Amino acid sequence: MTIPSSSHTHSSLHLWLNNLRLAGVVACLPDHQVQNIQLTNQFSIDDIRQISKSTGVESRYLAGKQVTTGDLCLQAAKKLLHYLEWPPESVDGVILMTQTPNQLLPATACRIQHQLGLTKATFAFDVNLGCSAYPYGLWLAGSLFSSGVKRLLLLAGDTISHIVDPTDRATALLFGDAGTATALEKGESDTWHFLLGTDGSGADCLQTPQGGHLSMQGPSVFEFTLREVPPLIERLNSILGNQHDCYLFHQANRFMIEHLRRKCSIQPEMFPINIGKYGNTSSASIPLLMTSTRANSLVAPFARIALVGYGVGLSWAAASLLLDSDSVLETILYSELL
Amino acid sequence: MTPEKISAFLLALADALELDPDALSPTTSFSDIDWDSLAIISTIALADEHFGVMIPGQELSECMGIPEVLALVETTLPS
Repeated sequence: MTIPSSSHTHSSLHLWLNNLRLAGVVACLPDHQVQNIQLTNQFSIDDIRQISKSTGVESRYLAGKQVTTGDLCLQAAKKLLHYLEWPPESVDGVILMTQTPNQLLPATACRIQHQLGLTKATFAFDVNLGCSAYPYGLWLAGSLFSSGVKRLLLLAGDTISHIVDPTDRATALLFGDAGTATALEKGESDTWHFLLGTDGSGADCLQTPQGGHLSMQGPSVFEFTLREVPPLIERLNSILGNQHDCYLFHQANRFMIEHLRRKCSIQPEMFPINIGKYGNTSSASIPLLMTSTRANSLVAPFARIALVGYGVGLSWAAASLLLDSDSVLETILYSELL
Repeated sequence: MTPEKISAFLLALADALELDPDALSPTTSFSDIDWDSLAIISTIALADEHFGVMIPGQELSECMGIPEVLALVETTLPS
């Protein structure tokens, strides 16, 4: 077997994987949908209108104090295993991508292994990434198949509403909560491509100290995305020869992503946006975009989709993969299975 | 940076900031405008779109009015 050499000449690392199949994705939303315009005890109506105009967020689903990231991901995973009729003993591992685990320790994925009734012969761990988490997670999870893994669950979810300062104009009306589960198995699909990058010099741009609130330097984060994302898309397109049917961008802020879309010369019909209804759901935003836009561009058989995440870290990643026409893609509400 | 281009930029910025279409002119000061991080993000995007330049957010946050924003765009434009 020849191992292709990776490339460091760009600001992203190009890696690729073969023989994988994305069997399905389920996204789980908390039951409580909040309209931003109703939050007049925190902000004036004029403030809310102005913030909504620039972020594009009109409503969000919020978990409330009692519902954790693990709860949302667990419900998504249960539903997904049920749809796919995967017996618990057929799952080799659980990886949870999150910035808001249930506790500092243990890893939330360990609790989920038990709650899902998976066997003890299962690996489980958390990974701390946010906006870029999903394409990173697909690459990490996909890489494990060469070591003998046959099936695994990749969970991505956050309850950022738990760490937001309710008086902070920049973040209080922006973030929503969601948990997602993605089923990966061995397959015979075309090659999946990944571009991965990191710039820790911008770590302070988005941070939460122990026990504190999330702080975000919006303009610096936007500067970074404008600098890194267009070249990332250009490179992905050159690798794949402009074959993508659909571009699924992390739903950071409508104004930002619309600007990125035009800058990357992507047609609006190939670029779904759902931030208006769900807000920025951090690590869950790309899989939630997959499930919530199933009705349109994603139903094409064997659609080649580009998944693009960028933000906290600073960290960025793009994945290009082929989606089966029979992959399960569903959005559920938390209480559906309780 | 022609007057027409500046007008188009200011019109788009006024719309993004939820202001009246004629609220911004090349001499407008920010004393009456909420010049916060969301406004700065809009300005970065519109300067990129209208003039093809990327203005640093930090420098934009120190601007007191439209004259300084336009001066920043001017100095960032390739000569």
